[in-house]
Amino acid sequence: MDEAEADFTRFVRERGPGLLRFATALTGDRHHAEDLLQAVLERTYSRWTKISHRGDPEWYVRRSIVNAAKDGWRGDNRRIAVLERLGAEDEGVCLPFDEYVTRDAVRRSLRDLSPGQRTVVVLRYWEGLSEAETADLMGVSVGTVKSQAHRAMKTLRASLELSEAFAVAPAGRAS
Amino acid sequence: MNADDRLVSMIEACVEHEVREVRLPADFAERIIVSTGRRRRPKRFPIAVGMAVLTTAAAVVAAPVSLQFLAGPDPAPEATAALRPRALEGRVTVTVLPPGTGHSTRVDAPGGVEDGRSVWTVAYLREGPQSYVWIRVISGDVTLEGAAVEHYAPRAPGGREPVPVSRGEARAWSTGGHQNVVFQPEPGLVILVRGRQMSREEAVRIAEGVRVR
Repeated sequence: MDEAEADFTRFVRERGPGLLRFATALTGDRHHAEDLLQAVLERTYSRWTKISHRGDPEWYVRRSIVNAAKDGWRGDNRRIAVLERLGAEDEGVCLPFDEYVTRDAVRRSLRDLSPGQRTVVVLRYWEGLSEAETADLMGVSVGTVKSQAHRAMKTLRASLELSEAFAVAPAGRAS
Repeated sequence: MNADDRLVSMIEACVEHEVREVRLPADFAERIIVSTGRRRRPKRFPIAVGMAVLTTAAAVVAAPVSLQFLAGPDPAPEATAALRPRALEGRVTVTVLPPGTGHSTRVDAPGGVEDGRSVWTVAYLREGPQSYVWIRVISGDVTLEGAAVEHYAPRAPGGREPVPVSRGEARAWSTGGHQNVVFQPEPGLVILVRGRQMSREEAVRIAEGVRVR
């Protein structure tokens, strides 16, 4: 194994798990995320010497993941179907009924966001990046980040409010 | 906690839920390096579970294909060449594809079909969430149909209709709402049926259920 190969292997071993989580958060689908990450890392490895000498290969990979996630969605007009209901995924997790309903509503709304809106939401609220950091990673203006975030939160807020309005206690609960 | 704080908290919980238990395979870096073909010293990439080759004659109409398994690591070319299509003449190409890498080993094996058309199906199996069944047509236009195609091709045109596919076209099917064209090494048709939790037995059922005409 030569030096570049060893260096790349070390990078993937150390950063790979976090990058996969990042890709999964952006895509909402772990299998799509695995393939997306593989494609990005293949391109990265082919230019590894140049990229690693620039100083921050992780930033490069993360930016590539963001761009690839958006490109992937643009190339496929079909929505990734939500195949599992929250209940099926949450085996063993017990939530109060109204909490279950509202979390399910937000989860579905998250999946229905446009790629750009979802990316902004994930970077701003899950990664905790600032507007400037989010704009830098996405390669867009701060204004675009603000407007995407505003539209996304409006959609998610509406979904949350609607689910709360209709969440009712199961029949038979004692008063 | 105000309403937006609550929403942000909910977003965090939902995304955390999606990324929970996400694991990177231990050999992921190795796969990347192998798949780019940039390793200086060739290395035999281990194949965890065997390889299956299905053969059929082009003149067969709506007939099920048979499945042969070659178990063991990294099939050697001579072993692969031993998987001859039944009652076939001419030359065909067997493509062995390790999972998730896009890397292939091409071996020319004696074989072929009537009417100048070659139809090969290669099933590559690996126990676990990324098992594959490949169907590859290297010449001619074919139609795939059968219960397997119906079940594992949720995005095929028409949903449940037989799927016409042409040479040069790549089509990918999967379960679990995910599609991936892993590899198209040369002009020809590559159809990938990818199952998230596909056992060898299930892949056999898929392969045997596909009819080529």
